[in-house]
Amino acid sequence: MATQPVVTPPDQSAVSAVPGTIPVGPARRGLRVGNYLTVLLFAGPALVLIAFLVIYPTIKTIYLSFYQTQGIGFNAPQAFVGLANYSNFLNDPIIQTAIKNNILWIVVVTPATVILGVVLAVLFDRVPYEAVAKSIVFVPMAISATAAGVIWRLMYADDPHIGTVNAIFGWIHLGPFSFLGDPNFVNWALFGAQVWMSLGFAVVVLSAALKSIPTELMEAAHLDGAGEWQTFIRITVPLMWPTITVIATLTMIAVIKVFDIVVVMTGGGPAGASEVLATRMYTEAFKNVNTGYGAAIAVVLLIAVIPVMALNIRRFRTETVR
Amino acid sequence: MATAVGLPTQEKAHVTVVGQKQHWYTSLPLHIVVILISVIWLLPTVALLFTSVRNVQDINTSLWWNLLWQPHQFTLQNYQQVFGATSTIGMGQAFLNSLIITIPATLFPIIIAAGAAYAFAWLKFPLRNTIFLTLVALQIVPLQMLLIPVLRLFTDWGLTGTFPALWIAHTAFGLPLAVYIMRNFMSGIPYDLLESARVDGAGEIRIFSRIILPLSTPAIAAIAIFQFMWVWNDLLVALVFSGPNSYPMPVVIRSLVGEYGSGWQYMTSAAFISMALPLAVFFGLQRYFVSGLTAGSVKG
Repeated sequence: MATQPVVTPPDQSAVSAVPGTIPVGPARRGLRVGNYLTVLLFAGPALVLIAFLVIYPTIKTIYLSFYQTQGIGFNAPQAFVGLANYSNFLNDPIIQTAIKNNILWIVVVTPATVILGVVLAVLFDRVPYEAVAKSIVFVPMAISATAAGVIWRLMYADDPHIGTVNAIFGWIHLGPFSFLGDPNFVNWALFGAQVWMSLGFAVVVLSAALKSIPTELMEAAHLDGAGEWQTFIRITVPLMWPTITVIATLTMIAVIKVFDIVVVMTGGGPAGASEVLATRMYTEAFKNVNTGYGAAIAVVLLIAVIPVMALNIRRFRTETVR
Repeated sequence: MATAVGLPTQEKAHVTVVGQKQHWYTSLPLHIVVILISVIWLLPTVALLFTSVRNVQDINTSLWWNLLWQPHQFTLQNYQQVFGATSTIGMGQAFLNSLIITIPATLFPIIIAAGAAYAFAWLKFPLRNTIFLTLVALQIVPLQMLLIPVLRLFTDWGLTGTFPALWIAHTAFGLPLAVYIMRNFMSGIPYDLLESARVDGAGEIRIFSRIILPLSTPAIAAIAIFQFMWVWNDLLVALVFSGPNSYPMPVVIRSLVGEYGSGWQYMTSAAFISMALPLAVFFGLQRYFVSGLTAGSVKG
């Protein structure tokens, strides 16, 4: 066995192996060519599972989105309909609401998470009980979206004897509001629950980025007469920018695919006002057994996620360069 | 977390002149804001916990925090009703189902991904980097793209509604990310270590199990926690592939919400039961927990 001291590989070796930057060095010197049995033994099970249950389904879903299919069975009757499943979006007001809502989710939840995340990272950095505060904000990450849905149904309950939010509004003689029953409020109520759930992650990651900024930079800025705000805008934010981009893209991907919390809190209601693409996909494909249409919605989700992910990968590359 | 790089303000410059006491007054608004935010973030979870230990009359007539000054309201009867042996809601069975689903669905992908990661990091075979890049790209595919064809396959094989359906689905869906993270970690292991083992005559399996796996513990722990949390908390995959004999807790809670829209005593206690284990993991393994969720944040 090896006699060298055991060196733990660096935790962040991850960044060196992102698309385009695959280090070919070590493995070149690896196994003798021809010993494919060993390769098969190690990589075979993973590749078979991925081929059958990830690659094949992805292609099949794209294929199915051009067909009208009745039933979920393997031999369900189907007919080629071209792009009809996609053009049917134009005749489907619920899917249009869902697309509008998904855009609203992106436009509201992303900046809210990023801005609150940066602000809290900076504020927490200045108190001695930072670790406790971060833990508290992180706790919702441990809770399933299903349980979080129950939590926020309770918080938003119409009756001020039950719902905390309405009880607090009651103190200033407002309400009670029907947060989840009013089409004007419902999406905003969901956004609140989502931000509550995901902010902790943003704070923890942004806080790590903040701590990697050299103190000397801040001190130099102060010596040069920069105030708090100027230092924040001119130094802190630009140096945290790569991390801010990551949080923004991850939040966008998450809200494009948002499902659990909507299903549990509103089921897409009232009257379809809070539907999103993922809830429509589930309903069409598995409740209405409208397989082709459901597949088309899934493809839209995939197409929506790709540009955001491309942004993220480019960020990873620049990160590697630094 | 420990190194306070912060305090980038004049406070630092003035410390020598004014001393520590100045801070306390000038930073009072800061403390108020931070504490207020912490309280707001804690409040919903506490509301759930308090509501779950009051009886239905108390829940419907006064807000949860009344429990603070009326501690006699405390009762565990809601938990008996949803969790007990005679319960019609069956959270006990659902808890078991969640365990039966989650444990294999966490172990399988780790074992399978570790082998593949070793091959991608240290064995030479044709198209190695192309295949790995494909794997990386597959991480972006939303689950929705996989559900319909996989359900058709499982229905054809008679698996739908069974535990193996959920094990296989969660294992396959979790693999691209797990292979990616572990491969990156393993390729950071010094080559000399492997070389000297090979010189000493160790075979690949021996190198893998005696050197690579033990050194990869941090990556394995991160993936284990991420995958455990993901499967335990999953609703979508469970809705599609589980059946009456295998419903995990999120599915049961969701149908509780549908049936008893205002049965707070059931919903809150059921939700808290489902949160207990993840919260315990969170407080027990906080460091790995954060790194696990950070590593897996792209999945879905």
